[in-house]
Amino acid sequence: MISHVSERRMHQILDGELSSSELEHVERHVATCASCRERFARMSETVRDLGSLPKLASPPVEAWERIAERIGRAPPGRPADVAVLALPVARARARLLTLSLPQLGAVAAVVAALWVGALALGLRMAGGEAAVGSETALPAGVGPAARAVAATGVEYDRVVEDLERIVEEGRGVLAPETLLTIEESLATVDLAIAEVREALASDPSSEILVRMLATHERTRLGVLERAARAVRAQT
Amino acid sequence: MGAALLNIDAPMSSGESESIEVLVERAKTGDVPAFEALYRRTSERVYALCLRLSGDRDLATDLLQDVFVRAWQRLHTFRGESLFATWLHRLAINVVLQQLRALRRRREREVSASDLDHFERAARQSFPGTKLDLERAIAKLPERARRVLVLRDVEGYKYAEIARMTGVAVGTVKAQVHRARTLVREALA
Repeated sequence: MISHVSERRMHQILDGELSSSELEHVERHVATCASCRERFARMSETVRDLGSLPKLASPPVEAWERIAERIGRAPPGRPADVAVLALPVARARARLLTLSLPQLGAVAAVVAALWVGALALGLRMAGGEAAVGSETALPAGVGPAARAVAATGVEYDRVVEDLERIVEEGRGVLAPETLLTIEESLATVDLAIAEVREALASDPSSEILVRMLATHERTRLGVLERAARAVRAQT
Repeated sequence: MGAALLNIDAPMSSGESESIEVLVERAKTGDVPAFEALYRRTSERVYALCLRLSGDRDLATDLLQDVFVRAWQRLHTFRGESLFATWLHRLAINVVLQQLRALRRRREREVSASDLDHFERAARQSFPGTKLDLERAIAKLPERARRVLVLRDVEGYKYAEIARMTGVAVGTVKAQVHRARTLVREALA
């Protein structure tokens, strides 16, 4: 008699990852255990239902009109209206900004410097004490660099959001080629940032990952600064 | 690819007699009506993906547009080595995951009861005959869990493929799928 079948083992069965001998072993238990049999039946049914969900859904009728409008501005293989590619992002943004572009440029430079400085300071600190902003609540085991980054992150996010807003509002004055370059650069950096953040979630004390994150964030800031300058030059 | 794609490359009976291949070649030259015909044949498959991955009708509509604008831009890179449907589906996943990542950086979406009601209405309209309780349970999942569950158990991708798409380790993807299945099952209990 084996112990009850674990959830993990059930998923392995459903994924076809058990050898025939392992499967046979489990089956012998399930045959005599009503509880495991019922749990497995419910899990199997859930997975089967998920697989049989419809694969087609009718989009809103107006969707094509909007696409046609966007692609009508450029031939295929050339930049189309990439501005709207960031719409979900833009919609998520709720803050308003009161700083001018020159002010923002100055603030961005300061934040970038703070970013590097705080990171360096954090890396030099020993004993795990937060370098900046002791109010930042981070889990135990998080390294000093991570604490430094977390402490400056709020300011960084604020400046980035403000620059993004300028770029968003200035899309109409930028050439499609420029917009495409900006969007693709940001998308690439965002992907890199997302990947490092995911890795950091698993290993929050990794100083290497924190340094990578800081580098990517600075790169993103630089792209946005240049984009905002481009908008300014056209207005 | 592990996904079992529907045969959307086959001509449909809506008066469109040209093959997907012909339409693609025409669209590559800037023929918007040809691209519209491609859209008419493939958008339902893409929209279903967008709707389930996002759990939000408005966002799904934006994502659908982004996918087809990107497809228009990248059409010249489609060389016919795979089915157009396969190429488009992979492109759609890349665009959707990229946009959801960017969105997540700015806000951790919490799905409210109102969001769920909104989604359920959209699901009822868009997925006639679907299991609404199951759609609702998927929409209610945390974003990462929903993303991998849809790709694995609804779309049929392999764990290794999902790991490549999402940039997450295979073991992590498996753990996320297992957790998501358990959450869905509990939601249905």
